[in-house]
Amino acid sequence: MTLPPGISQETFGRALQDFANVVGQDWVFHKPEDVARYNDAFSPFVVEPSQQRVASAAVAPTQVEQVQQVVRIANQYRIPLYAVSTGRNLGYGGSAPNLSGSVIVDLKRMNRIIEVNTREGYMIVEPGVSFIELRRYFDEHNIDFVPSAPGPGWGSPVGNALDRGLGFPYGDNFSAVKGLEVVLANSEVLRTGRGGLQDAKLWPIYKYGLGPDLLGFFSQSNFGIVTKACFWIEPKSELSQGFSISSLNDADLDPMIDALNYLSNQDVINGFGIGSPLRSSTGTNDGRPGFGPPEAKELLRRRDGGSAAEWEVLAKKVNIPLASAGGGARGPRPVVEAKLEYARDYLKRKKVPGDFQIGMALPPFPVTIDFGALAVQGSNLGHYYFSPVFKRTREDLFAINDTIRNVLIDAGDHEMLDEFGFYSAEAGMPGGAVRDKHMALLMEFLVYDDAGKNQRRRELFKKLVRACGEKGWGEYRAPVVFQDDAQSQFSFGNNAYRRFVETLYDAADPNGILSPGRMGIWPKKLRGN
Amino acid sequence: MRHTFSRALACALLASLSSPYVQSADRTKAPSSGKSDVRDTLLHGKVVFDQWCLGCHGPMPGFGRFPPAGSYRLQQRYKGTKPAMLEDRADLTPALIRTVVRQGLPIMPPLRKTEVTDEDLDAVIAHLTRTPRD
Repeated sequence: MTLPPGISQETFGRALQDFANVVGQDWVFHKPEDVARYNDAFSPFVVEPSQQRVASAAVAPTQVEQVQQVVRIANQYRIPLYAVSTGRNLGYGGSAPNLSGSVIVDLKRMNRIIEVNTREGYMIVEPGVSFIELRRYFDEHNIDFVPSAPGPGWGSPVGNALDRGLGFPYGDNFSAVKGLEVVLANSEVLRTGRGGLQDAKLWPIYKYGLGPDLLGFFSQSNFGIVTKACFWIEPKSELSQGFSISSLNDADLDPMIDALNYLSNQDVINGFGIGSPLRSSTGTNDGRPGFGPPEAKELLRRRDGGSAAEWEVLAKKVNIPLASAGGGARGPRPVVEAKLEYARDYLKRKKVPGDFQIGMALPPFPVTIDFGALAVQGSNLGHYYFSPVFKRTREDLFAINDTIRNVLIDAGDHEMLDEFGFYSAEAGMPGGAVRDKHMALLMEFLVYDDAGKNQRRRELFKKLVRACGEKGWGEYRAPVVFQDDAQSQFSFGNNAYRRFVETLYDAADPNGILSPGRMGIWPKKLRGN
Repeated sequence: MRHTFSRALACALLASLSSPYVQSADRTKAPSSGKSDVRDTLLHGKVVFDQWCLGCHGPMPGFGRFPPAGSYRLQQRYKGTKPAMLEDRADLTPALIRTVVRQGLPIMPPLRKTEVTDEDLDAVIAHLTRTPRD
């Protein structure tokens, strides 16, 4: 049995009894088989269990007051807590804590949909509500709005947003959050923004309070346990339509991006992505073979990745585009059709080279993509993601791909080199909610039944974090076991950001009980260990 | 590595058509009359199964870019000697279902008691071991 650091079996037993007095004996889990269900099911250490980050117990409250009492008990006994909404952040750590021995605060039973306001377009939900449950609720109540969901749908809108995850169809889920209710380390309940007023009618409407804005303070953070979140929601789009533009010449990507930036910046289109289809035709990054020509794979095995002239010769030979951009528009049908017609006309007027195509219509509701990819790829033990953010320019697209390929070449990992090939995101997040100007690279690391290989891959991951971080490509989120590495890249001003956040953390949580280590922020007593 | 728009669109559209959640509201409706404890349990089991299991244990080959993970893996394992879909199986035992749900398998994370309660699990077992099969 794993114990919280520095806590005796006897003391822990008393703490568990105190937790049980709050939530009931059935909702405190301490038997090994129950606690094991909070391990990261896709852990990079899945075949090296002794190295996994594991919990000591779990407690599952249903009420805010119970969360407050759990926090009080944790303070009394100096027991670290790790809060999860539904604990399904698979690929980024699942429900496993940064600090082994933490007690998981499992908020799945806090699953109330408190309000869905279709007149003003917002909802207030608790963290245990899943995307599936929300979708079902909307269906049953004939609510013609959509939550923005990632796959699979058993995750939490609150948890996903707090981890700054992405959803379909709106992209950045945290951008839709306008208010939070949080239990702080001192067990007080705080509401952000207008929630601070005694009459909180504007809480879901206007996200600011007066003075420093705390909303972002509680995302990817360990400053509190979020117990409610206010989201803006959108009506189902009558039409969500994609488009793409492609060319056989690399250089054509520049005028494509310039034109689509212009259209995106005035909301003619809802986001777009860029890529190189021919280069990306060789790899899938998940252990399955690509479909592209062997010459493409050979070029990508070279340090220089092949010259533009070589690629253009190959592109003409196999007639697969070298440059491509794509995006979408959503809304009422006539508006979307007019927007895309305007986009087509604008590209023509600006003499943007390339073949403009209107794509398929997207469904007007969110999609929960299943685990099918894991079933057919090279390994099915799990996966985790390297997720750096880069600029939506041709230079950055090629530079980050070159950097990653050269790290793979230096590491001698030819298997991963071939699987990775070249990263493209020709659509970005279709119909993103905000005018994203960045792109996120998602590089999938598979977990194998081979501890040595897994260890080499983990070292490779860290090398990629450093190589990309040095060039300004920090991660937008990171798996639990790599969060210290990812945070270390944000080192401007002698780590001024991290030191500032640590100062605040020490003040807000002097006992260091809330999710110690989250995103590389540790309590004073554990720093440097 | 590619995340192409056309593929994303196709996957999104087609996966949605096969999504178990599209019709979830209808599936959760209780019958208007003739309820019994057994029938309630079976209905509840179906609701829980649809919510937690069907996404990966739906019909083969599926409609998306990838097949349903669980059905695909079971098809690979049994090569036609047993049905790929759990709901078509007649040989599942309560003990096996309980063990797999609570302990998980590669790909399949275990389901916690805060997600699928012991009562929910009993209902899923009743649904998957029901006789006669419909």
